[in-house]
Amino acid sequence: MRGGRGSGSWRVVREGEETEMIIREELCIGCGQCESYCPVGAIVPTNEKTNRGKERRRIDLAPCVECGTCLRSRICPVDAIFQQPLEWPRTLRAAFSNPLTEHKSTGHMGRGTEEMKTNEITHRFVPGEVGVTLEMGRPGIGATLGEIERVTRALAQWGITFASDTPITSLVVDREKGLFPKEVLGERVLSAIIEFKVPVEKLRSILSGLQELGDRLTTVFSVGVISVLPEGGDDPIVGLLREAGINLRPNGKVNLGLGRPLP
Amino acid sequence: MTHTLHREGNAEDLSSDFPVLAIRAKGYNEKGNLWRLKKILEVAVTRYPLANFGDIVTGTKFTSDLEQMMKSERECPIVHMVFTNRDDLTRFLGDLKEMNLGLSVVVSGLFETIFDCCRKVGLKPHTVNYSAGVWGRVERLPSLEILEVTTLCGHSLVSSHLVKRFIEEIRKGKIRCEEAAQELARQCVCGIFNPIRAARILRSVCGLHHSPDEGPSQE
Repeated sequence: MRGGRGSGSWRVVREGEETEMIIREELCIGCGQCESYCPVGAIVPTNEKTNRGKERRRIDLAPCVECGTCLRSRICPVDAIFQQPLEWPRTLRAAFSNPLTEHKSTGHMGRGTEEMKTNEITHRFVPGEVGVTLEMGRPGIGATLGEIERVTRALAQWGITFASDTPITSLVVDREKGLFPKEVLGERVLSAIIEFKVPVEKLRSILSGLQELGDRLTTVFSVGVISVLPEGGDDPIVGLLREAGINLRPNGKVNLGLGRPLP
Repeated sequence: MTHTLHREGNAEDLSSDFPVLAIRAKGYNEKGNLWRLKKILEVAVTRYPLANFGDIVTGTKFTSDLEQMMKSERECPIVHMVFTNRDDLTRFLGDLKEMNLGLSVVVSGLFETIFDCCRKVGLKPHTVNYSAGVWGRVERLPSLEILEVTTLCGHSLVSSHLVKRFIEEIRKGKIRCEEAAQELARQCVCGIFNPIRAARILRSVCGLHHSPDEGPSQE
């Protein structure tokens, strides 16, 4: 995280070291430049005016997801954007929303695992099963952990085992019920990834359940499906999803199979 | 991370947008192999006209430079490079095959094109990640044109409000499409935002048809 305009390069912040984002109103000159930089629209007018009659800005801490974009952008001409120490459970906002924050649960920056990116080495996913990623709140809407828990609860009820090494799984205190600690449910994040894998034959019913559940949520989620390509043939997953009425985008990610264990 | 997975756009628009990442696998080739990751980045940046590149701990094409990334001793988990056409991508995949560095490489973009590039250089893709799109309360999303720009940053750090503001400013002649696209690219911390594609989208939304190669005028 940058310390302010003119300072050095980015610094990686560990979970627990994050600081609450504020605009120091006594410094704010009311130029309003920062307002549009906030991905969740949390920078708002204060109704207080400067000597020149311009409205000062403040950060509304309820929708703010602590992503750090306003500070990193260096858009404030008078360095009025500051960070204050965060306390649990607000620390979770930065852990999920600021990509430069390292998660305690994984020791990595990022919201998920290596998933398919290293699959030719790790064999996390094997033929006959598919990986599923649900990126809650993406793109750009955000979600509360309470809303995300509605999905983990449903998945647990359907017998899903969550990927063991993700930030979201680290929050699940009751894996049979998919429950998070009560004190975190009101925290809001820009996005968070629920990751799991299922046998191919179970995929259709799980996705169908998720479609129904999605209609009852107040946010969005981006859905990814991971599959090991069969030797020299078309991937049957594509046809299976098409039959289920699920349209896949023409673009996605391809692991080239170049990795191997190295000394 | 799934951050290069859900880029919005039609096939024509996506045909000039190929983010590539290289990564070490935890527990298999992570230790002592940072140099291999840097070698991949160096080859890509020095041989090809990339739209963007970077690593999350040092910065991107728009917040840092290759020299800083090469000098940095900090452990970056992944490097990113954004290619803008299939020919460069094909040649780069050939470079990777020849270098045989043993790290995992993932290409994002149109499947048909990626598979074709792989065939040409004799690579056999291993695993695929499909995007089934956005589910849930999609009525809360901004327009498709705005999403085409904002989803170029998979961490959602590029604000839809900022894109809308720049569209207004471009229409008023206050900022050029390319300048706006580069400012948007600065908000992306890992170097996957494609400002060339973003400028093209902004130009189209604003009804401008002037190529950046043709000079400073915006009609």
